[in-house]
This record gives sequence, structure tokens and C-alpha cells, in this order.
Amino acid sequence: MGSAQRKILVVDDNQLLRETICDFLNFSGYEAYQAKDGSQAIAILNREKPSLVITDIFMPEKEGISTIIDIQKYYTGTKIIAMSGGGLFNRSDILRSAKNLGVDATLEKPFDFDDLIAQVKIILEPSNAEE
Amino acid sequence: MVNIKEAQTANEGLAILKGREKIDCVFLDFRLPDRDGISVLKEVYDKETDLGPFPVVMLTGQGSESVIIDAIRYGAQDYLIKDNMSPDTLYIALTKAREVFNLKKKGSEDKALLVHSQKMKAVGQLTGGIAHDFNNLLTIIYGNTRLLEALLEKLKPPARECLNKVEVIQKAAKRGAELVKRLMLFSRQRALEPQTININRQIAEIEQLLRRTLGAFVEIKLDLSETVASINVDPGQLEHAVINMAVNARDAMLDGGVLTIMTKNVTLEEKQAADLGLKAGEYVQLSLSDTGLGMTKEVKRCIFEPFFTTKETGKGTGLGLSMVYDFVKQSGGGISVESERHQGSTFSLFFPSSSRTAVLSSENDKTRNLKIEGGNETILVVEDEEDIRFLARVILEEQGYRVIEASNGQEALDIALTEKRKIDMLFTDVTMPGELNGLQAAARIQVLRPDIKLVFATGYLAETIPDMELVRRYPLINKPYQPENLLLTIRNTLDS
Repeated sequence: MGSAQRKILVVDDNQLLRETICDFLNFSGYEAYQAKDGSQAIAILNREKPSLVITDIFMPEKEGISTIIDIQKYYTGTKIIAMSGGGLFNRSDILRSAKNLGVDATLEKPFDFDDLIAQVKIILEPSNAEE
Repeated sequence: MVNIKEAQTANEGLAILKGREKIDCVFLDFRLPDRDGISVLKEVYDKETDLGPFPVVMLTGQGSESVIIDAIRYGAQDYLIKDNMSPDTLYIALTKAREVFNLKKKGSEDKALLVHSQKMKAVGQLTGGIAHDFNNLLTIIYGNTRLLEALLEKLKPPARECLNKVEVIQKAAKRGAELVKRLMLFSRQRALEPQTININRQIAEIEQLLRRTLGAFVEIKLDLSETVASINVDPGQLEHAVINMAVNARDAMLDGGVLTIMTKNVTLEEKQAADLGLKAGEYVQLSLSDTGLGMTKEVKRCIFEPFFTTKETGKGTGLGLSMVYDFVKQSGGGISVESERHQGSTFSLFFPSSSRTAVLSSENDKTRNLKIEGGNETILVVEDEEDIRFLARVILEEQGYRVIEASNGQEALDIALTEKRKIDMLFTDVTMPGELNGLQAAARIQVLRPDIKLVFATGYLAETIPDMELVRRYPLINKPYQPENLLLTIRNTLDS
């Protein structure tokens, strides 16, 4: 697997959370980058060309959705995992919008980090899904 | 025209006040033969007693400043010095006392309503932006404890004690996540969409649901007035409120009992209306009476407060009745509760009568018009989150299915082992805490009951589940459940 397949961009306006997710991804053998909003995300996409973007949807308005749309338009082929702020019934419509946009997976916070890695594996290494 | 009632002793006076007559003002002498006026005043204003309160003018002799101060402190609106009494001063005192009294009363009611709605707003905010923040914080805890766990396990020898502590943190974080979900579940922020409806019809629509929710040991009696007027409320919220109160009634009647639902037209007089925070006029009364445990005065006082609950931790959020209260107030109505310990409780809701004709509810209620076939098969529902499990039960039972619940894989397995009757289907969440997750439980149950049909549920995208092979062979429903989707999938699977 080429090194580009290991690059992941994490986009979330909460710094501690960004760092936590990146820490975990690095620990699990990936190369994680951080962005706090849509424009930072684009900058890193240009520079590092990650194969997967894990992005929050709210941030704080609907910026996550527009970031997703931009990625799909200008960085086709980049996989996307959308995270939501959690809450079963109120946020499901937002998650549904993300699903309708065709993201590769959705995660509701707080999520199990083993699940996160399982998702990432399946998305980036479909042939190596079993561990 | 002024109507005078006289009393020569405190007890005589109190007897009159406790009587049925409407008293608009009390002139109370400080020096009475049997008691002092201040103690009478305290009794009049004591919420514990069933008196008034009424506007009170304290009568005192010359130079008794401390009496005057006490009188005002204990609730009197004004005072009159006996030597200064004249028709004018009497009239002024009477008018002033009534005005001040009414202002105060309205003020304290407004204040109570404001505090209540602030609390409800706090709840609403909790379930809005703050829930999002909480979930972020919980995710941070999840992530770092998982990392900590991984790092500690690498140590040789592994730091067992540290790992145990990490596990404790993880459990607490999970509990936090559950709490946030529960709050969001019960505090749905829906805007009220009032419609002119016939309350009897709404009750008829949820009658079956109510019977199932209350179970076989609670008898439901309907005492619905045929001539009941229309009211202007959000029908969904009304149903939600009735179900909420019915569930409370059920929980107060654990050994069974009777729940009576009554509707009728009422005319509320000034005092009755004022007690409810309403104007006098025509109302529709909806009452739910149970024959259960009843409530103490202390509990009755707090019953509508958000987060107040008499149930043990983990059962009930304490939000049900405060939402009912909120709904009723926002619909321009009032709510009251009568209850005595061991004598049951009656909740009465009053809605202003509408002169408009009720819209036929079937025109508006799309979900109930969907002809989804039900069934009477037995379904074992396995789900660790109580609220989701309850919802699934309610959706399924409304369509006629018999539901057995289990909160984890092991419980489900035990039920499969011991249940004598046929279980037609296993409907289980895939990821559950405990020794057996949904998939493992399903595999073992299939060995015991080879004919059992399987449907899985998950909050995650299907691809994230390990052992995808097994799951792929069976229908998978995403949480949160769409009732129609759930019912269709279950019906189709049972028929296959």
C-alpha cells in the first residue's frame, strides 16, 4: 500500500477532539493531518492530497456539508467519513443529508475508536478488511 | 354593593374563610380573644392550608410599629390604625389591598412560569448546542482512554491497576453518552402546530396504543362527553402528553388498577380559573385518574419540575410531566393535580374551548393512514438502550405483535432457552455491551430455535460491523427506526 493511502485529514473545530482523533490514527499506523475549518481543509488537501477526510458536519454552522461538497467536486476520489454531534433523533436528519451526499461512512459522536479504525480500514484497504 | 361577614374570634373568622363563600378582602384585628392576628395571618397565607389566600388589611391600635412590620412581612397588603378609621380610609385600604394582592399574585405566577420556562429552555439548550459539545467531550474521553489502554497494555508487565482505572473512566463516559441520548430523546424540540381538533377523537386514536402501553393489569375506562367542544392544540403533542401521563399512572399501579380518562365541557369561574392561571370562561377538561399509590404534598408540589422524578436512577428522565405542563401552558390551558397518598391521583388538563369545527384528524395524520399489515407473531426484541427498546415495543405492539424484551445478548439467550411458546422472530441490535453481542446471541439462538427469523438493527453503517458475512444474509434496519420501515421489514421477513 502506497504512503498516500495512509494520509488522513481530520476536520473539526474542536482542537482537543481533532488532536485525539489524529493521535489515535497515528498510533494505528496512519499519517494524520488536522484542519479546524473548511478553508484550512482545502489548503491541506492541496498540499498533502490525503486519501480520506474525516470531517465534522456542523462546525459551527453547516460548514461541514459545504466542505464535503467541495471535496467531492474538486478532489474526486477522496473518501469521506462524516461525523455528527450525536443525539439519535435530532441529528439523524443532518446525518441523512450527509448520507444523501454520498459520503463513504457516517459516525455519531461519541463513537468507539475501534469502530473508527475498522471503518477507516474498510474504506482505505477494502481487500485487507479482516484483522 | 359590599357584603359584610363578621367574626368575633379568630376561629370564627377562619371558619368563614374555609367556607364556600367568596371573600374578597379580610379586615383582621391584631388583638383577638383567642389568637393574635399575626398567627391568623400566617395561617391564611400558609400554602399548606386550604385557605385563600385573600387580600388582608390588618387592624391595629396606635403606635404598634412592630405589628405593622410583621403584618406586611407575613403577607398583609395594608394596615389600618383603628383610631384613624373612617369611611375614606377604609375604602382606600380595601381598594389598595385588592390591587396589591392581585398584582402580587400575578407577579408570583408569572415568576413561577418564568422560572419553569427558563428551566425548560435550559433543557432545550441542553439538548441543542450543549449536547453537541458534550458529545465532543465524550469522544475525547473515549479516544484518549482507548489510547491509554493500548499504551498500558504494551507495558511489560502490563499495568493492571492502571488499566482497571481506565476501564472505570470508559464506563463513566459511556454512561454520560447514554444520558445525553436519553435527554435528546425526550426533549425533542418540535414547534407546536395547533389544529382545531375533537379531543375525543384523538383519544380514540391512541386507545389501542394506551391499552398496550398499560398492560393487561390496568383497566382503562373512558368517560368521554359526546358534546365536548373543539380545542386548538397540536394533536401530536396532545397524544404525547396523554401517553406520558398514562405511563406515570401505570407506574403508580404496579399491582394493577383502573385508569379513567374523562372529557367534558366546563365553565371555569374566576377563582377556579385564577388557580389555574387562566381567565374565566369555557374550557374542555381532560382528566386522567388512577387508583395508584398517590402522592405526598411534597411530591405534588414538584411534580411538574424538569428533572424531578420519584423513580430510581436510570429509570425515567423526569422530563415527562414538565413537558406536559409546558405543552398545556403553551396551548393556553392549565393543569392541576389532585392526589392523596394511597388514594390515587387525578391529573386535569383544561384547554380553552374553540368555536371552530374540528378538522377530521384522518386528513392530517398521514402515518396512521398507511396500511401496513400487522401480525400477531411473537418477536424477541434485544436492545440495550431502554428508550429505544420501549419505542420498538410500542411500534410493534400497536400492530398486534407480541413482544418479549431483552436488554443484552445473554438475557436474550436465556429467554430463548426458557420461553415455552414459539418465538417467531429475533429482532436485535448488532452492537451491544456485555459478553454476547447481537450477532453472537443470534447465532446461538438459531441453534436452539432453527425456525426463528432474524432482523438486525444498527446505529452504524453496515460496513463497520465485524462478521459482516452473517449480517449480510439478513435484513438490517438502521437506527433510529422509521416506524414504517421497521414494520415493513419485519412483516416481509416473517412472510418470507
